[in-house]
Amino acid sequence: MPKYEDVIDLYDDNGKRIAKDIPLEAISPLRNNAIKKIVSLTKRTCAISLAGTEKALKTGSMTGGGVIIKGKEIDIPLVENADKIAELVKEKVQVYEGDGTVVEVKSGGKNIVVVVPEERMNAGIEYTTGFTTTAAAATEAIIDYFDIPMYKANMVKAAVWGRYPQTITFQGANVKSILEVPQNNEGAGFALRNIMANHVVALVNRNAMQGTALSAIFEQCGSYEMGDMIGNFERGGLLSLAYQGLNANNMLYTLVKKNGKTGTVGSVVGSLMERAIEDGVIRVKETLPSGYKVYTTDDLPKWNAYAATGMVAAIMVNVGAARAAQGVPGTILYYNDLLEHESGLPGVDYGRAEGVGVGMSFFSHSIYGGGGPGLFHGNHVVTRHAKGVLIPAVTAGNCLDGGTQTFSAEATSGLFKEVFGDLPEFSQPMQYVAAEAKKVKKKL
Amino acid sequence: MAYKRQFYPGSSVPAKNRRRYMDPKVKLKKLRDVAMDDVVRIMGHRNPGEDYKSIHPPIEEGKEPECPIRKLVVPIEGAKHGDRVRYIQFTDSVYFAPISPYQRAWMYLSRYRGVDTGTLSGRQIIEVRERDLEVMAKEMIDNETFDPALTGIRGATVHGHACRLDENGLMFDGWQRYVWDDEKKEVVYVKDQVAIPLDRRISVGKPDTMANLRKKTTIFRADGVDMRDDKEVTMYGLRIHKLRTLGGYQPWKVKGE
Amino acid sequence: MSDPKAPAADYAGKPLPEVQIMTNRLLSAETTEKVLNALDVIPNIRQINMTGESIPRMINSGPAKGMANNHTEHQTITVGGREVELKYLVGAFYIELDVEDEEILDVRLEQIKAACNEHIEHGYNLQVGRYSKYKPTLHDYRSA
Repeated sequence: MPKYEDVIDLYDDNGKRIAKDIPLEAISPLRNNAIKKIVSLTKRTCAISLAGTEKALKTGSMTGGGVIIKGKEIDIPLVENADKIAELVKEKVQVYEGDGTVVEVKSGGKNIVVVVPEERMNAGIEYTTGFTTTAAAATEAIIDYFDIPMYKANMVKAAVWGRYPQTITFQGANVKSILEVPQNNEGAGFALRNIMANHVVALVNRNAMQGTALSAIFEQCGSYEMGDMIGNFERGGLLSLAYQGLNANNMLYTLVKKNGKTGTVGSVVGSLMERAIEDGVIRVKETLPSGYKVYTTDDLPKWNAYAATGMVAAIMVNVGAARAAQGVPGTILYYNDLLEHESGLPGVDYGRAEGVGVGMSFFSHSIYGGGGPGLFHGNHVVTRHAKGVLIPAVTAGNCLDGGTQTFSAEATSGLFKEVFGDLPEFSQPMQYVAAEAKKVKKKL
Repeated sequence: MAYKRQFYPGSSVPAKNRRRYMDPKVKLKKLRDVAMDDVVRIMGHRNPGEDYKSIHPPIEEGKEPECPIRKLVVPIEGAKHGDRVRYIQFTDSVYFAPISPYQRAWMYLSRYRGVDTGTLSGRQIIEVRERDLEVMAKEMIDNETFDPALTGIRGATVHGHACRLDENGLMFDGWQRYVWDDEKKEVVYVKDQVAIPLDRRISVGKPDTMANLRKKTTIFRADGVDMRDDKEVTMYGLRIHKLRTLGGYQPWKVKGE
Repeated sequence: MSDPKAPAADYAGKPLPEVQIMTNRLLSAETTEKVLNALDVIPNIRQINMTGESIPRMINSGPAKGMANNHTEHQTITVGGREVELKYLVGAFYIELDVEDEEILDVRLEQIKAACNEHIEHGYNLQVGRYSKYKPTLHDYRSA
């Protein structure tokens, strides 16, 4: 018996129906195996930059901050021997044959992608196991294979791990994880919110619908982890994930299609109102003397999911028309304000998204230092308040950038594209989540 | 069912004006015709006649990343050409300027696409691909939302929106980008929006009378129309505040509020 | 606009009355000069301070930084035969009166109003009180 009465149809990024009559619970991260796999791979997957390590050892320039350690340079051909190192790494990381360990050489030996087995994750409680396992294995593999003497071995450690533990983060490390160290998280449960919009953009190859979906998955999983999707709050979060992230009932796609050619943020607000009235989510409460109609709803969480979907549509239309990501914060802010004035109902996340839009405009327009919208994630001091629904819109906008950003996804997140790029769970999450949802439906 | 947008509550003059400016179906009155080359000069991003500089190669259909949304959303002209993103910024006086910065944002996003806009206390910036910006900027300078005396085109040092007017009724500008032509009774720009002197004087015409401005403005003021006297507007603010609060607490319990 | 010859902060030790004239419009250099010269002849005026909106001599930020501002109202005016550089578009006068009793104060006020009425076209608001410091406070003892 499903927990919630809500039933949705899931549509893909081209507006094609891929799953019918899906109970809301079937897209819950607690039930849906595709989402679980995305989360699992996110924490288990790391990349070793052999080219970077080789250069660091050869020049002594390592651990970031312009540090060069002279006199202990090590000139060893790591890239050339990538296959051998990969073999050694696998030996060290793998628990038993067939445990899901992956060690793959990429870019002709410049990088090695490592997926640490679940067994190791399960034997600890921190997601950093992915990083520490990979880094330690790489360090040992290099020392062993090239027979590095004891008094130079510390250079290998520094080249691979970076300056940690003198620093809190793995500063200057040549092993990269898409997740930050826990100490950099704003609070409990923020790990999956600490993924830059640009990383997601790179993972989905700039497909705005898929980017929205993947960001929504990360953010809503974060909501569970933060304790924001427990009890009565769960349904609201799932509705947002469904409509905003997974194009439930094709609302997002239809809104964009309707407004794509000539529409504005304002016309998206109009289309959303129309849809919400048609679907019976909102209705007129009273008409004021000026003729202004005050709308009300009997299902505020659902209205919120509708509003969140409209927000992404507004971004897709306005920022998409500009092919310039810088308009993201402004669009978030004024979309919500226009919607509130239009309907008399609260904007996305009950006003929080609008508030974030104000701060984010400030922080992403060189008024307060540099940095474009692509660098934002849900762990940022100005974005963390609108949980679950804000970052998907940011990702959507960044996917649609035509090359205006200094901090583009290509510049900041190329490595992660290489690491996760082949995994369909990350490049086409809409299809994968829908397929798994169908399976869950049968069980409910 | 075709939904008809209602924009903003209220029966007062500022409320009605707000709706008017926001409604893309309303064609705003053109009050003057400043030559496009002069608009380009005042903005100062390029010389008239000069080619547009680009920040990325032109967008060609079929060569964009594989994304269904890109196929649905048509890029604006400047985006197609890979233009730089440039800006124009207006400062609006609190003394019954035709529009105030915040309503500019509402208006821009209801009337134009591909716009990045931001409001600060007394000014409003619009950042758009250059060739689209020029078209927008000309419209904004020519139409009824611009008053030569009470609207300033100011890229930096925008101070003045809340200052007393000068003896000629002009909004204060420490950089004096525009001056009063006492013979013609017109406002004349002598510097561009960042105060680099212009090589010619550009007239933006005669300021409106205060009596007319009070009828055109979107600004609620205690000595004009007090916002508290428009019950619908006051009700709206309280309503949103209440619903945001209730939604932030237990949204599932909010029914028919 | 502090004059180097202005009396020291602790000159009186007691508050002399000050007339605050807040103009409805910011005054041009020409009007400011006329107002000051009309006030200058009134007896018992100890000092006149003015304030308003700053007009920089140079453009102080943005791409035109360092260029001359050439603001038409940044002028040197002549008051009572002395030259005064106007760095502001003046919007307020603070006139300190060295008067012994209210009778003389009232006479002077009428003279000040007459001077203002003649030259301040768009009106002003006049109040009598004390608006600036007349004795040292803690702030004056802090090290620089």
